[in-house]
Amino acid sequence: MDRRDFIKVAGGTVLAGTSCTYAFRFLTSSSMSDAGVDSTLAKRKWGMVINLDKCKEDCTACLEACREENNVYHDEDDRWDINWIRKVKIEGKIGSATTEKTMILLCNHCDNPPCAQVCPVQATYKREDGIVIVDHHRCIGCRYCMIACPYNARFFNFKDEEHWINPDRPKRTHGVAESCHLCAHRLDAGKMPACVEACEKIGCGALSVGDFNDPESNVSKLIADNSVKRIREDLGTEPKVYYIGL
Amino acid sequence: MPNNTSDPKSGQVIIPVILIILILLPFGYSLVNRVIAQGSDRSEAFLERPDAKYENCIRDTEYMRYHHWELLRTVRVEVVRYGKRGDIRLDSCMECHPNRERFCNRCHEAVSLTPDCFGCHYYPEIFQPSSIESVTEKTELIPVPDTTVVDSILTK
Amino acid sequence: MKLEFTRIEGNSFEYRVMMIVFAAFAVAGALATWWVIEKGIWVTGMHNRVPWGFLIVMAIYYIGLSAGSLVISGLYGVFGKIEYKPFARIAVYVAMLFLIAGLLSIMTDQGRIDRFFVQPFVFFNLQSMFSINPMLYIGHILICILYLWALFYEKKKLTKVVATLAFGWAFCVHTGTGAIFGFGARLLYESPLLPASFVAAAMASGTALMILLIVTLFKVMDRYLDDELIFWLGRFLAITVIVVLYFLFVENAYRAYVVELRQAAVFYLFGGYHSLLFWFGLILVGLVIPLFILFNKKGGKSIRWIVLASCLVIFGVLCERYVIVIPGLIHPPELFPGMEITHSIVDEGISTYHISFLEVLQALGVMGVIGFMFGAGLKYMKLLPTEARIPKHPASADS
Repeated sequence: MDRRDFIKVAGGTVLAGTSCTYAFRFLTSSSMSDAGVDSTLAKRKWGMVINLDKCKEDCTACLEACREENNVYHDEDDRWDINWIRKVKIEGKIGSATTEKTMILLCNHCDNPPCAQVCPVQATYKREDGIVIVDHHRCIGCRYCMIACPYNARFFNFKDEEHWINPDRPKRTHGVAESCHLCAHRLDAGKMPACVEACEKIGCGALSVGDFNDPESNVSKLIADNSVKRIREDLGTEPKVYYIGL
Repeated sequence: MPNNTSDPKSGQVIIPVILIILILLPFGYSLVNRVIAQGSDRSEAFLERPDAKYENCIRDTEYMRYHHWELLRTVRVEVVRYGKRGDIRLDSCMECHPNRERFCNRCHEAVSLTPDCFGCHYYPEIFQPSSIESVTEKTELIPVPDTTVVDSILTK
Repeated sequence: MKLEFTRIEGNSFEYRVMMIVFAAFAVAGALATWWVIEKGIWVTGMHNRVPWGFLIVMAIYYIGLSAGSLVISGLYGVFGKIEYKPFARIAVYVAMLFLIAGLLSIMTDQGRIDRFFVQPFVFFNLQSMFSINPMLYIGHILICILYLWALFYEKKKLTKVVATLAFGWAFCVHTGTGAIFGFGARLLYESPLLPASFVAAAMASGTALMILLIVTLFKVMDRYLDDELIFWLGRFLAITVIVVLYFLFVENAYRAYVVELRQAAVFYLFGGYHSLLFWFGLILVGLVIPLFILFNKKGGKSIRWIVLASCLVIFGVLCERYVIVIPGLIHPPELFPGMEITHSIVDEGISTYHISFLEVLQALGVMGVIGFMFGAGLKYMKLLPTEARIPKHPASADS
């Protein structure tokens, strides 16, 4: 057997082997991913309404509650710090008057999420009830979603979280992207997200989460009764986080 | 340079030999590993008996031993992607098998698997000493099965 | 006169030193990559506001380099220019290597490399440019292998078919790579022109690389190379450089003209280190000076000057890749138009990014891997002809 024959045989074997592997994976995975389509989720459409008039300026109850509930990584250096919710102060000029506002920013759970559109492995996706969620078992850490997100709401686990604040909930290893998932595990269990509970506990009640499909829900009423705004509505992402008093 | 012109035939032999050695290396490694492992303390009970709250697990022992990962993966897809949160959780394994080192790692090591479940999911490697004692005591006893709980899980 | 391709002996001192250097690069890159995987990507200096760094710059640079080399081979394969047959094989081989380099760079940049081999091919998402591209790259590598095979066995019809396919596919590959950025959401990325300008810059850099490689290889191996061939390539390079300049002008003129993009354009053109790279690295050194050299009567007819121009273009396009990726990231997305974020717990304003030593090592490692493969290819495959001269009777050379 000369070299050419050897290369032919070896190349053929490698090609056949890899194609068989992929055929096998395609076949097995297609049966896996269609495990069971649930229709109970589709009835709801979760969203959030934030009343900025009720929000206190220096209060960080929701931020801390979020960290404790979801084991969000904290770093001293804010370049690698992860904040699913963050508070910012914005300043704008209308005529000669300067207005200042305290804002709460989080994942907007867009109806047309750009992050889910660009995810090469469908790890980020929109659940049937409208929550944009990351499947950390599948994320390859390409960070394209962070670039696509126009709200700076997505973060990457650059380092490993050492502490396990809440053992009931998983933490993340380094190398996956994440953002707020509106405490989907709590909503599924019939509870409110941690930030909403914390906000109610301190007596503010600035945050409320509810079902937009239900016209009688708290958020639907809030939207109907107040003038609401969303961030960058012009982008066409259809955010589901509404602000009162922006 | 005469020194550098090597015999073409020796080159033709050496390259396939190196390739074959490289290909066979993992097999040899695992073979040696297995022989060594069998000689060592693994000759004892391979996996510990569960802390017997229930008589059976949620499926047959045979199924759980070889296909538990399929079950966990199906459940994972259901929970993460479809929001169906049933009773089968990784956390509920902990109730009967509190010791990850003895329950998960021994077997995974023997078949050289490193699943990365526990980088994110809480399952302490070494359980608190008090519990271990209670485990060893309980394995000697014949536990009373709490059939109602098992049935409720199986029917889900 | 028959065109004869030969291997090189591969016993010389220089060859061995080259191979050892490339292997050392590869090992260093592998070690750096291992360190990054072990510690997490933060060690490379990337952070939440600038999640893509130097490796992505290098990835699209490598992918661009592969385009031009394929063009050189397409001159023979597609357009039937028989005098470029001597370079056909090496051009396809280099094109394949640089695509592998691009894939390697993207791969080592992932947070979870262990999943990179499975997930993108099982759960692909055809709405995502990042999902379409790996398929295009792998398809391109396979087509290049087929193309090489056709060239080695002198199968004329197959060569023509595969060359045309590869040519079209290469356009898809580079348009797709440009589209990763052009179709993105960032203010400085979003531009339908970017894929086209990406293709143009790819052709310029690839042609320049091929000129550099061919001249160096023929010189080192002491084989005859007809100067006219290189002169023609130099003129081709000049045309591509003009096209790149044109695209850059249109893109930046648009940004400066449209009111909502003016702020971003000012930041892009006069806003920091990247502006220096843009004006001096890309425009002046990378494009204008080479143009002067190539259109000069003396420079365009001198191999040395053409090689110098090629080197400048290769450097300039690297700067171009940098100013595509990085400024778009450090310029923040505008959350509140007309308002300003004065206080936040994370970095909301214009961010900073510095290339770190580890990233350079990783990029060099990728370079080492393909350099090693290139050296091995020269030794074990008949890539280069004994001489490259313009045939007096074109038909006779092909027989």
